[in-house]
This record gives sequence, structure tokens and C-alpha cells, in this order.
Amino acid sequence: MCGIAGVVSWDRPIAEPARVARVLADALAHRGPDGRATWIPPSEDVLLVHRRLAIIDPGPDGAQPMATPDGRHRIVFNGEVYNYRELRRDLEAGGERFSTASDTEVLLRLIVRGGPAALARVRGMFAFAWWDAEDRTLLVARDRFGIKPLYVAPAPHQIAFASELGALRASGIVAGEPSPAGVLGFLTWGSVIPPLTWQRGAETLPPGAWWRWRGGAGDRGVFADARDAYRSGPGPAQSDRDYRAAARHAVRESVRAHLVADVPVGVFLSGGIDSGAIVSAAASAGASNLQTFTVGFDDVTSEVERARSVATEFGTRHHELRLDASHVAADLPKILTRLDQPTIDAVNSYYVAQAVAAAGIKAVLSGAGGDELFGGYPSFVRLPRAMAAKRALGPLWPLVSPLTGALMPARLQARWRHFAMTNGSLVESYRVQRGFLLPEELDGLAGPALRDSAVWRQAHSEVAAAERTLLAASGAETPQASVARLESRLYLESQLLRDLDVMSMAHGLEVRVPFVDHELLGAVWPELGRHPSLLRHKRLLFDTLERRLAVCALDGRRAGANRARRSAPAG
Amino acid sequence: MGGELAPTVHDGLRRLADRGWILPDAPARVWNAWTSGRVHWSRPWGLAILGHFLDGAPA
Repeated sequence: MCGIAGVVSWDRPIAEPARVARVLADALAHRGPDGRATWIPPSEDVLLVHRRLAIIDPGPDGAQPMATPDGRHRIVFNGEVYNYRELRRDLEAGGERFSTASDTEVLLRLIVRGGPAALARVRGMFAFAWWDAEDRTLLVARDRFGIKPLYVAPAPHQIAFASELGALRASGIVAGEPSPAGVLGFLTWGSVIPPLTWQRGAETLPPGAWWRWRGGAGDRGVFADARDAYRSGPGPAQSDRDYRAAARHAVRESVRAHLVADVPVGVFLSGGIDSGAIVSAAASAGASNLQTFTVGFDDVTSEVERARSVATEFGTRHHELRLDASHVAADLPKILTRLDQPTIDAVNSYYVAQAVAAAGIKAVLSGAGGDELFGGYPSFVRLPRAMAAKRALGPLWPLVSPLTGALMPARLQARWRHFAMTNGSLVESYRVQRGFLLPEELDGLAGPALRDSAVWRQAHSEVAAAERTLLAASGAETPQASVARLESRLYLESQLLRDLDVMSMAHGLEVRVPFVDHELLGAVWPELGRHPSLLRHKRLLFDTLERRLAVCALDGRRAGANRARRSAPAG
Repeated sequence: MGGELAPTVHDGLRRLADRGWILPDAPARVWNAWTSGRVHWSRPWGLAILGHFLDGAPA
């Protein structure tokens, strides 16, 4: 887990490469307090920057930029490869010899051997840049869920990349001019959806994607498409018993994998079922001296108590941290700096991560992704039900919908009207559920900077293209699988995980997300769509618990830190 | 959000309007919509965050 950045110039030396490298490294200092290194060849047409947060092989052997012994291939990498030991064994069987114990070297040699397609074998979170000095090839890629960020600024003569937009701005590589499409994307969804950014001249590398340039000519591809996991499969449904057993095994395996580290790994414990299940699985995986962290605001004391009872049940070394978020207004400038992109959420996460990092821990497991994986959101029930009702009422819908809308709370009426007048598609229904400003609300608020006809048309075109890529299915799905895919692709990947990364890395804290794991995803979906009773109150996840916890401790609701993060900022 | 953070939210909304991203009367409309319960708190908050971003606050 680190910060990376770099520049490759195709036809001339980089202007002031040492200064650019220094600015990039300084701008990413918070992401990597344990080390700082830069590589610039004598030709001065490439620079690679790395800020290190040392978690695996934390000694000097694991430092980056890391090169193969012949110096031909070089990598800067942000993230963790959880199955690096297995991959290393396979590579050694194929003749590779390793000089470090780090996951970075495994990733470096995996790409040398197999190119970007080999990334499909990686279990983990990552964003990296890999340079082949002989072929003058730059390859960048990002994990299939987009847990780790990577921004790319392509220009005619050079490519630049960084873990945060702020680094590209600080170095002058992007000019700091807002992107109307990024602004419109934010106004539409409450976060800037990929590949858009709020900065003109920079884009987000989409999850599961790679981008490669050879001598300045680029090609792009996808090494893994997480949407495929939701497609309906052939054959009969598994029995409830077999399915629950498989899911239980997959949860435990994912948590076990996410505990790989050479430093202590803690757990965010909210008292809700997601983090409780992680503690349960970690205990069953044999994790010893487990440390758990509950972060409470004054108004969530009951959740602190639930977390305490879970910690007691599993015998963890428990820390209760009390937050004072009354200084948000004063802290906001530095929070905004770390936020990197606008988002409607995340401020409370800044304080949660600050408190845990101050306790001396460098890596924690989080229950983020549990709601999207196991059906914890109301949308899993609401969307299929509302769409079915609209279809069933047919010609009666225009008569019934105004009456229904009149009975709704004031803040939901505009959303109901939008749902009532749209085509009833899943995407439009989801827009009602998760959208920030609906199209008619945007029409009523947008000012002249957006309304200029050419700007408006171009921005809408770019947002529509991003939505098509982000929200389209890759095949036939059950309604529940469709909701899970949308919640994962848009809300989890585009907003929650991005926010979690920047707010935790603001304090040099690595957050790991065992519920955002492709092997676990494949064990749960699409089968969960065939067992609707297991979606209710996340029953499937509850059934994975090693030891049954008191009902009062696990009431199926998100709580504690996660709930606090979604509540209105204090003040 | 109606307490100590209110000036920050008003300031962010004003910045967004001053730059022309939203209409001049939008800050008052958005704030009133929230105080009257017609929109969620995230509406004024999210727009204010955008206003601070676009006006260069995170530089």
C-alpha cells in the first residue's frame, strides 16, 4: 500500500525531471511514510516515483521502484497481492528465481512472464506502472474492483500517472482546470464516475483495465470483468445447505487471505454483522492477538456496546476510540485536499482513519462491500418490487402513481415522480435510488458554466458514455443480481472504495476489504439470486459466522464507523 | 450541519454559484429545500463540497 507516480516522455527528455519527481513524491508523502524513492535513467525521459507504506517484506528488500536483475523491467506498485506465495511457487516452477520475499517482485515477474492477461490470476488490490526499458513499453493497470486508484494524464508527447490527482496538479502535469463532464458526473451520481475526473486532462483508469504504450502508441484492454460474476449460470440451483457451506468457506478463505502481512493487521469493528463476520472468520482462520477498533461518536453509544460484546465473544484486544468531529469546519481545507475528488460522503472516515492510525496500527480489515455482496441495501427489495408493480399495473399506472406519490415523505416525492415517468428500466430505477440530482433537478439548478450549449452537449455525451460502460450488464441476470451489480459497480467502486482509500491513506493507514474479493464474489453470485430467502437481512452472511453471536450484538444493520461515515457531518 | 458547519456550506454553495456552475438563486433554493425537509442533507453538503473544490480550496 503506497503512493506511486511517474512520467514517460516519448521523444525528448523530461524538463527538470528531478524537480518533477520531488514534487510528485512530496504530494504523495501521506500515502507512504516509510520510504521514498525515485528512478530516473541517464536519458531522463522516464521517471518513476514511489512512496512506501511497508506491510509485506517491510525491510529494504521490498523497496521500490523494483527492477529485474538485468535492469530491463521496473515496477512501482500500490497495493497488496494476497496470493503472492502461490503465484511465486508457480513462477519458480517455471524457472523464475527470486531475490526478495515481497509481493512486488512476484507481480513484476508475473507481468514479465504473462503480460497484462496474467493479472487475472492476482487476488488482491493494486494499481501499478511497469516499464520495459528495452521495448520502451509502459503498462499501467488497476485491480478488478478499483480498490486502489490510478489516474492517467495522456498527452501527445508523454504519459503521466499518479495515485492521486493532487500529485498531477501539484507538479503542473494537469493544469487544474475543471472538467465539465466530471462536474456533471458528480452532480448526477454524487461521485465522479470513471473514467471521468473533475480535472480536465486526467482520467481514471477503470477497474480491471490496463493501458499500454509502446513508443507512444497506446492500446487498452480488460484483464477481468467483474460483471461476469453476476450473469445467470446454467443448471439447477444448489441446495440451500450446500450453498451456505460454500459461502461460509469462501468468506473464511477471503478473510484468511486478507490477513497476509508482516505487520499486525487490525479489524474495524462496528458491531454490525459485516465486521462481526470478519472477526468471526479471522478467529476461525487462526488469527491470534487480533486487535479490533471501534470508533464512536457521542450519538452512537449503542453500537459501541454491540461492538464491545462481539470483541468479548472472540477475545480480541479491543480499542474504543471516541471522536470529536466538532472541528470539521476548521479541518475542512485539509480534508478537501486529501479527498482528491469531490464526493457527497467520506468526511467522517477521515476522523475514523486518523484515530486508528494514531493507535499505531498500519493495516485494518473493513466490512465495506458486505451490503453490496450479501444484499444489505433496501434497493435489493425496493427496485425489483417497484419495477414489477409498474409492469403489472400497465395502463392503470398513470392513475395509481400520483396517489402513491402523494403519500410519500416530501423528500421522496420528486424521486417518485421521476420513477413514474421513466421507462421503468433498471438503470433509471437505480438512478432514482442512488442518483444525486435527477435530470429535472439538474435542469433547475445548472448555471451558465454548464449550460453553454456546446459544453452541455459534450459533458452529457461523456457522462452517458461512462454510464453505459459502468451500468450495462454483460449478460442475463436475476433482478437481485442486477441490483448487486449496480450497487457494486457504481456505489461501492466509484464512491465508497475511492473515498475509503483517500481518507485512510491521508493518515498512512491501509484498509483491506475481504468482502470485495473475486473468489468470494464467484462463490456468492449469481447463485444468491436463486435463494431469495438468504438475501433477507443478509441471512447468508449471518450463516457464515463461526460462533453465533448474541442477537443484540448483530442486528443486521450497518453500525458504528460505517454508519457514522454516512451520517451528516457534525456541526 | 445547520450549526457550526452552516457557514462552510453557505460558502461552498456561493462559490459554486459565483463560478456559474449553478444559477445565482440556487444556493438559497437548495438550503431552503433542506431546512424544509424536501431534500436530504447530502444535497447542500455535496454541492458545497463541489463548490470548494472548483474554487481551488484543495490546492
